[in-house]
This record gives sequence, structure tokens and C-alpha cells, in this order.
Amino acid sequence: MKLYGALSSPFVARCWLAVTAKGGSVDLVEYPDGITSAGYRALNPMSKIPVLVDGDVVIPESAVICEYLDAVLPGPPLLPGAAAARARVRLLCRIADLYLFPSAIDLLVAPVGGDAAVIEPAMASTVAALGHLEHFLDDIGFAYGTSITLADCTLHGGVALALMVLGNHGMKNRFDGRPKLAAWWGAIRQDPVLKPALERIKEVVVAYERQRGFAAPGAQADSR
Amino acid sequence: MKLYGSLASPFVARCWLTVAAKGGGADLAMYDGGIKSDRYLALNPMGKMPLLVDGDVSMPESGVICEYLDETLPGPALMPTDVAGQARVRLLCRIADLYVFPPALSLLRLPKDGDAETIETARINTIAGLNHIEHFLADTGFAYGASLTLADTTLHGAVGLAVLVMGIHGMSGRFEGRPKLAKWWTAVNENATLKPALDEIEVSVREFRERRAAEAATKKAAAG
Repeated sequence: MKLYGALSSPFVARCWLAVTAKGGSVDLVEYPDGITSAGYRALNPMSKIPVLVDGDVVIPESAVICEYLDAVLPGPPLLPGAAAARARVRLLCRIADLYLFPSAIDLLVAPVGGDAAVIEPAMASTVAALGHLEHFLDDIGFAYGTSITLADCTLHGGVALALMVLGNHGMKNRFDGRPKLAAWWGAIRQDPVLKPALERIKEVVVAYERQRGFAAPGAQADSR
Repeated sequence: MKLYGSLASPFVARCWLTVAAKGGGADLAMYDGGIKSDRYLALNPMGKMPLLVDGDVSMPESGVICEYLDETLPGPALMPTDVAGQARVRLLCRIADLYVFPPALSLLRLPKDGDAETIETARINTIAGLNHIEHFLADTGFAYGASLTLADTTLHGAVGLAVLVMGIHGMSGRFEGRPKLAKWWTAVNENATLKPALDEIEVSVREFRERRAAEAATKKAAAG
């Protein structure tokens, strides 16, 4: 199996964490001709990373890839067995995809100190999305239940990005009123299964940010 | 099981079509107190429709609800049994959620004589979303395979909305260069299983639009 993309993308990192949680292996590579090439567009007309290629099965979109990886790779299941529990895990992933990532990405591309009419609503939406996650998160160290699920793999990149961009735009106390999120964030980064992958992701993200010329590369994602 | 919301919302309609495809098993109702009431926000802090309540299980987000309905209601399976097929169905749903609904909803909210550049961007993105669907759609009259799946119940509202807003903004050739989409649109609208629910949805959307037009006319008269 081949996963096309770079770990500096939280959507690629999400798939990489899912692979890690399964104890599996896929080849992580960048598409040789780039993601706007005709060859890549034939695989994924949306022209985004990641794409998973498994023999003649081609799948874009990280959320779809993650469910596929969970279903086909050996290793522990990353979705619970009961339908209601599966719905909770999928809901947490969906809140990240529909409410957290879009507004956090708006903040990422907005220059610090830039147009308040853009930054203020994006800050408010990002904080609201963290509140939605708080509402549905478990408070036992995993996003749901007592083991890693696709929600942990998905939320890591979303929350890390949100913390970084809120910090960049001057917000302190990003966990105030969100004790479950704080506990989860503390626990997930120490998870022995995910830790090696998280360290590799961090290295790539720090290098990427340094290249883009951020003043304090990566550091803010870690601090409260 | 109770599904809260109005069929004028394509996200509620998607769940209602899923119930119809399963052969029933949930009732549709408006939430007593409204979706901004404390009681509703305690169940769904996002404050949106739909919300599914099944005994002591409740969940927001139509994409999550549809998978839960498919897993828990009797009736035909709305997900293929093979993993690659499941990924394709989820991908089609995801393209509707991420690439068709957002630009189509912004076109819906933009007045016909609104900012030309904003309208043009939303128009281009809506068409791109339809092209992405065309790329991954089956040529069977169903979105995937030879029977109804969650992709049919999801795409109906997304494509219906795209067709509606393109009409409002005077765009012709809505299916031009998209033969699979054109074939699917005709077939799904004549699907005998879905037809009664589709008729209910059509009435609901028409009533909603008439109400909105009447409100706008009253406001205009008051302002004049």
C-alpha cells in the first residue's frame, strides 16, 4: 500500500497515525510529478493530499482512507463494535473536519495582526469547535473509550493546528474551560503506540514551518 | 427513533431518504422549543438540524446519522459489503459534504445581484464539485453498484441544491459534460423506493421557499 503525501499536512498525518495505531506499514511517499499533475488528477481530481493506493483501489480524502485502513489492516480495531459508539467516534472526526479544520486553516493563512474582520470570526469559530469537541470527548485519556480510535488519530492534527494558530494570533489559556480536551491532549502525546509517529510528524512540521519562515517554529503547538 | 428537523434542509432530507431506503423505522418531528433551546444545545451544541434520538442515544450530523441508521434499522444494507466499495460510497458522500454543499450553500445565500467576484468563485467551485462527483460516480443509474446506497441518499440533496442555485443564478448546461450525473439524476428521481419521500421533500422545500419569498416581500414593503 502506498500513501501519497507529506506529514506536514494534518490530513496525511491523520492517516499515518491510523497506520501506526494498527501496527501496520504503508509506504509514505510524495507523488513524483506533484499533486497538480495530470497523473495525480486522474487518481484524485480534487488534487489534494493524501491519496491511498492499494493495488487497483485508489482512495482520496483522509477520513475515507482512515476507515479503509482500519478495515483492511491487521491490528487492533480503531472503531468500537457497537453502532452508537461508532457514531460517537465518527462524530468527533466530523466535528474536526467540518468545524475545526476549516476555521483553523483560515487562521493559519491569515497574517498575524492582519484584517480583524477575518481573524476575529475565525478565532471565534475555532474556539467554538474546540468547545464542541469538549462536549463529546471522553475524559479518560482517549477520545472515546479505553483505547485508540480513529477519533484520536483525527483529532491530534486538528487540535495541534488549532492550538498553534490560536497561539500565533495571541490567544493564551487555550484550554480554559476545556478540562477534557486538556487531559486528552496531555495523554495522547504520551501514548506509547503513537509516540514515534508523533515525533516524526513534529519534526516534519517544524522543518516545514521553519521553511515558511515562522518566527517560533512548532513551539507554540506544545505550550499551553 | 426520532429524527428532528425539517425536510427543507438537505441534511435532514438526506437522513429521511436513508430511512425511506431502509423501509422506514424513524419518525420525523420538529424539536419542541427549537434548535437554539438549551435542551437542544445540550444534545447538539452546534445548534443545527438534524438530530437523531434513539432511546438514550442521540447524535447530530447527517453523515454520522446515516451510517447509524444503516447499521441499526432493518431493511436492505445501504453500504456495500466489500471494503473498497464502502470507501467509494463514503468518498461520494464526502465530496458532497466538502466540495458541493459549501459552495452551493454560499450561492444560495448570495443575492442574484450580489458581488460578482464572490458569485463567480462559488459558481466555479460548485461546478468543480459536480465534476468530482462525475469522476467517481457509477454509470448504472445508482451512485454505486446496482442498488441504493448512502451515496444516493446523500447526493440527492447536494445535487438538487446545486441544480437549484445554478438555476437561480441563471446558469445553463447544468449537466453538460456530466453524462453519468445526468443519468443518475433522472434515475434517482424516479426510484420507486425513494419516490414518496422525494415528493414529501419537494413539498417541504417549495413551502419553505414560498415562505421566505413572502417574508422578503413583506420586509421590502415595510422598508419602502
